[in-house]
Amino acid sequence: MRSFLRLVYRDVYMSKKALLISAFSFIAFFVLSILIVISFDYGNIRTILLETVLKDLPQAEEMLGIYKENFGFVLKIYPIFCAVSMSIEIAQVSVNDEKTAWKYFYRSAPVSCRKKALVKFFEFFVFDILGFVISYVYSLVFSAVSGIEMTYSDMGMILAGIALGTAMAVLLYIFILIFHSLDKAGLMLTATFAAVLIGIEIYFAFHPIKDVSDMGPFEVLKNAFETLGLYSVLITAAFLLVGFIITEMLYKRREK
Amino acid sequence: MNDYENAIEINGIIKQYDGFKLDGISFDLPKGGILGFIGQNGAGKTTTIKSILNITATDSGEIKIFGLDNIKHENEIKRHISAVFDEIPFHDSFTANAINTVMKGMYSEWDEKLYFSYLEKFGLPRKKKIGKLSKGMKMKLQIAYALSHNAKLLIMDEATTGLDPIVRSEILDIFREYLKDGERSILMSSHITSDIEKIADCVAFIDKGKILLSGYKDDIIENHGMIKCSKADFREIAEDDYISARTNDFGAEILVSDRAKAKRKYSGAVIEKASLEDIMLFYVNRDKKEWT
Repeated sequence: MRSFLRLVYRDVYMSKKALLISAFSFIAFFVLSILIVISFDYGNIRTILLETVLKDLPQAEEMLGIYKENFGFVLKIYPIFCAVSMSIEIAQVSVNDEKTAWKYFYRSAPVSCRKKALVKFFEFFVFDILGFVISYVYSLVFSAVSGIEMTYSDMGMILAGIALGTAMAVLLYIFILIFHSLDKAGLMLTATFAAVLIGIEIYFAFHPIKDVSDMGPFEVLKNAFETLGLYSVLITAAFLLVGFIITEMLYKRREK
Repeated sequence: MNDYENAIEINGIIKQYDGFKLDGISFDLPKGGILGFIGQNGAGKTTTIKSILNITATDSGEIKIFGLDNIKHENEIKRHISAVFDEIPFHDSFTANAINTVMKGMYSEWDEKLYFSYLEKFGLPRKKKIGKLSKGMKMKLQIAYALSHNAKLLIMDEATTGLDPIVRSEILDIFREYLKDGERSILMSSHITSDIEKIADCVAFIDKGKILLSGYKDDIIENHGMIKCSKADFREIAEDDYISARTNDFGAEILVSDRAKAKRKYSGAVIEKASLEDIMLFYVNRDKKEWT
């Protein structure tokens, strides 16, 4: 176990800078989001909205509350994504490995392909859990400060973020192992996600969800996250498992 | 695994690329010795070493390390070998201390005390980032951790390239020390033939994917000779008797592969010992036969 953790240490050591930047971004967005929702209650945003958009409206306070809730929901996306994207930093370590003789050195070391893959996916798993915990705590704090109740859609957002972060990290890592280049791997990742998005658009074009026709965009988003959240755990697990199997196979591959 | 004669045995390795082929590479590294694997850039040294380390797949042939098949017993073998490359495989942000932690995770026989003693011996700082070390210090660091897990075989791929003569000399001294017990062996690829000449027991010379010479270094140097003569005398030497000849306005230098035979046949000629560098240079130009 100790030797396993020492190999994990190597990747985390390499990602130190990137993880610190993620942490800093998270803290910055955390503080910003709290300040913005406080501004809805006591600050300039309240003043501006009441004096302009909501001026003379009988239900101005109620409308303000709805704006605050919807805006607050969207604000949460940024810090949550910072928390759940730590896996992507771990995947990018392999970019540096391509630039050094590490891949040859690692290949010459007595570490089995399975262990190498396990190390990587253990890291993805740990950072997924960490991302979840950080995001959940953030959501609780945000809810306490803003007075906006935490809902299933918040949980859905966190889980969906983790699924997305894991998918990106796993795919990026596999593409780097295949193409040995961040540019090509990035291109493939973009193409893959573009294809998925287009597929989703086409699907919903032929299978419109009738119930959303009367809903506002924020309501649609919240419902989407609530539904996605249910499947996100499965999506994350599937990416981790299949990604592990493919990675072990790629490690076994010898240069041609 | 202790009962083997040769640390490395390579038989008939063939590897085809577009425009290049490793063609029937065969040589042995006896236990306790150093084999200098020489050849010019692009000759196939690194490809051969990658085949030994099972980084590159071969089309055919057999490689044995410590008497064991290098594919079937890959992990067992790798516990006892150290690979040193021309550049340090750790990122610039790593320190010697951090490398110690990582290596503990890789090698069950990692000797931390020995590693730190090497660092002290080589004057390497523990906490300084690799990116701030000179090329010579980086190489010494590589060697420090390569020698710190009781490896029985050290494989070095162009590890002394780009180092100044003083650092190279220090490294060669370290290797002499490393081999003292007779149980350890070194495969050292280089195009710096002077280093190989100083330290190697055996030599394998590769050119364009083929092994042109292999055997004990002293025998190779002893057998080869350099005839120095005038151009007129050069015309009297049969083409089959020499490898190639370098001519200029003043005369000719001709490499022969059998010095004793050349002495007998061309008794008036001045025949000197050839250095490994000369041997390499003249063999590389063997197709031209006469060159300037």
